[in-house]
Amino acid sequence: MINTPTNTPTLLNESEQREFTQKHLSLEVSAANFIAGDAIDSLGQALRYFEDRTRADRQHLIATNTLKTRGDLIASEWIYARYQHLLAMAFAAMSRSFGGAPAGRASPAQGAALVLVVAAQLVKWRKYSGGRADNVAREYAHTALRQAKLHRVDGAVLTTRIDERVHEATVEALYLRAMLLERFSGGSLSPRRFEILDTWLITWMGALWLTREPSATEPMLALNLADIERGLIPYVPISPPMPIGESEFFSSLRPIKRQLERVIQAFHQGSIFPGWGIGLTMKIEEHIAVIEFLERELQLIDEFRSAASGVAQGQAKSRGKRVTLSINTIVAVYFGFNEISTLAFDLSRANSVAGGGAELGIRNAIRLLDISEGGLGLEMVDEDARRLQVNDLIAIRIEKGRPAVLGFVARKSTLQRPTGTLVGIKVLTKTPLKLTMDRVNESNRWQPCEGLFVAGLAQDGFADSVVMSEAEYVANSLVAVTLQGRVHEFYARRVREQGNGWRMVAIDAVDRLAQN
Amino acid sequence: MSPTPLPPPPPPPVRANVAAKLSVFGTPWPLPPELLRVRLKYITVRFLQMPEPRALLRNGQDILRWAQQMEDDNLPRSANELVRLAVEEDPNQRVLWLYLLSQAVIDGDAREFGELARLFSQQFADDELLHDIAHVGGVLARDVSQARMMPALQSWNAAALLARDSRTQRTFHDALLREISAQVSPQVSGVA
Repeated sequence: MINTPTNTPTLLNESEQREFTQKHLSLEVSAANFIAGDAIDSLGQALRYFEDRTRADRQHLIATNTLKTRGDLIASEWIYARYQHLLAMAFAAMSRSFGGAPAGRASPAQGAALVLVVAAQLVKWRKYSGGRADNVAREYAHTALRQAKLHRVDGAVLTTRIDERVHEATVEALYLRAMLLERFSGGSLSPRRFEILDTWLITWMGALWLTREPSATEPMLALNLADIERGLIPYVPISPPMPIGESEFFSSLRPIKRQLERVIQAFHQGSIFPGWGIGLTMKIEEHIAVIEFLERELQLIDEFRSAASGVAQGQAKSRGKRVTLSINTIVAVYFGFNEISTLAFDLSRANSVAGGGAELGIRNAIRLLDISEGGLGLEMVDEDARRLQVNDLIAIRIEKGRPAVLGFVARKSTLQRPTGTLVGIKVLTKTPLKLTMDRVNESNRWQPCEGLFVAGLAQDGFADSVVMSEAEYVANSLVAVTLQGRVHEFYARRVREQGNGWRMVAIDAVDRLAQN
Repeated sequence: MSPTPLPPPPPPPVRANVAAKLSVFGTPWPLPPELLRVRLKYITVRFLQMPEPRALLRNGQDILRWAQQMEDDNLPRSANELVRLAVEEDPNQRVLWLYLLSQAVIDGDAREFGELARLFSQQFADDELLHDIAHVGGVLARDVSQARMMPALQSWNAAALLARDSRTQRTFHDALLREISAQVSPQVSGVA
């Protein structure tokens, strides 16, 4: 459980922030005149001082998750900017150190380690402050590893401080931790969950390494140190094989899978992995969300590889289909099971982008910000977004004349513009089907009710579901529906997804005539 | 002359140590209360709607149904984990062992299959399937695709163990897809 302090930590006030910024600017000037190794050492101390002074604030900002005040947002952006500055200074010192400058108190490898530690922090705080994706951390990290490899110090084990703990790690492992964080930063993990993931990655560093040769039989991530546009990407075997470039490296996913099994095993044995860090103060639900996130990511990478290799071409074709839509357009949005079943399927509204939300009090237009196969992002005015809760059922008509996409609110996060909120939607289906069903009620009588049908991907039909009103759902109740002029019966089984006022339940078709 | 002493009575039959039996997958049993609390909380959260995990984990049919549903949701790893937890809770749930063995074949993991087969033979020393299991294990080590086709395996998976009505479900699914295609505008080609 979150260890909510009795007194909210005082965020560094504006003058303290200015003082810190000024100190860093002064350090930048003086470090340029230091011997490179001494500059690395001084910057390491400056990082430690900065993190010690801001630890309570950073923990507070992480604990508040996505619902930040304006002050929290400004503080997050300031911390992000400080890490950016520290990274630039560390990078300059490391470059001088590798360039043959006298060593001083710290070695060039320690310089690379410092760059990679700060780069990882930068990735995290870019995410927490709502910053847009850029190449900064990746470019510095790529260069740090390239330099370390050039000078053959990438495999040396170093004692490195990461926030408040000291760890033994190689430059290569620190690089992989930073790049894995970068890869996963695009996902839906909240700051709390992202911190848990980071403690795992730090603990797993001993099992992270790069290889020069890819494997055709196991899922791998690939990277090109000369390409700052990309970090770790799924490796797709090419036939016939192409020669491996000097800057290309590979990392197997197997060690990560094994380490994830260790996390799960620890929970089976009643321990919270890794037994230290901010995760110890968080609910088990947060840890499990990270387990499920990683499982999903690893599975996606695996599926991508299989699909691209032609193993599952048919499946990949349908899953990889991109939707060609104009982003940043106004869309019609309906909220809650009742409004969706009444309005979203009303043919007279099929060509309108005027949405619903009257009952909730939604007043302003809603824009589509981004869309992918499994989710989409909506931009809402803060005041409207506050009326929405995570797990609320939602239907969005993205294009006129097309069916509304059915999904639910997966997360809300502040956008960098002052009054906007990004609402992340997990898509349940792009082609929901609304039908009136009959279910056997508690008095053993047939009673009509509405159902939104979701056809699953599995061809055997066992992944099919129906979204029902919470009030109508009774576990294992018998339901009848007419499809193509024929009555089909099924049992409403396990709840697959749920939220306020709705349940999405597994369909278990039954042929009672045959049974009798 | 003193009478010949009677032979000592035979020792009472040894009861399997419950603690040892339950530690099939490495969980040191019994767990101290504080660790058990974390384990049970984890199970409750990881597998939604399991308010009484210990009781439910001992119901092999329910666990099998649950595992099958997770497979339906494309969560095979979670299904496997749930079944393992249930086997740890009560290793005498034979159907769950068969499920795990069939999953090892589907995954093409001969090492895992061998380890499961070894534990199964310890748990069910006179089981009628031991011969079949050894046979499947041998084939799996040589040729994964051939092992996946073996008739013995078809009766070990969850669908078979639960006797699910696949034909009716398929009929329903096909009718649902046709109904969606009929109602959705012609431009929309993909479903789900």
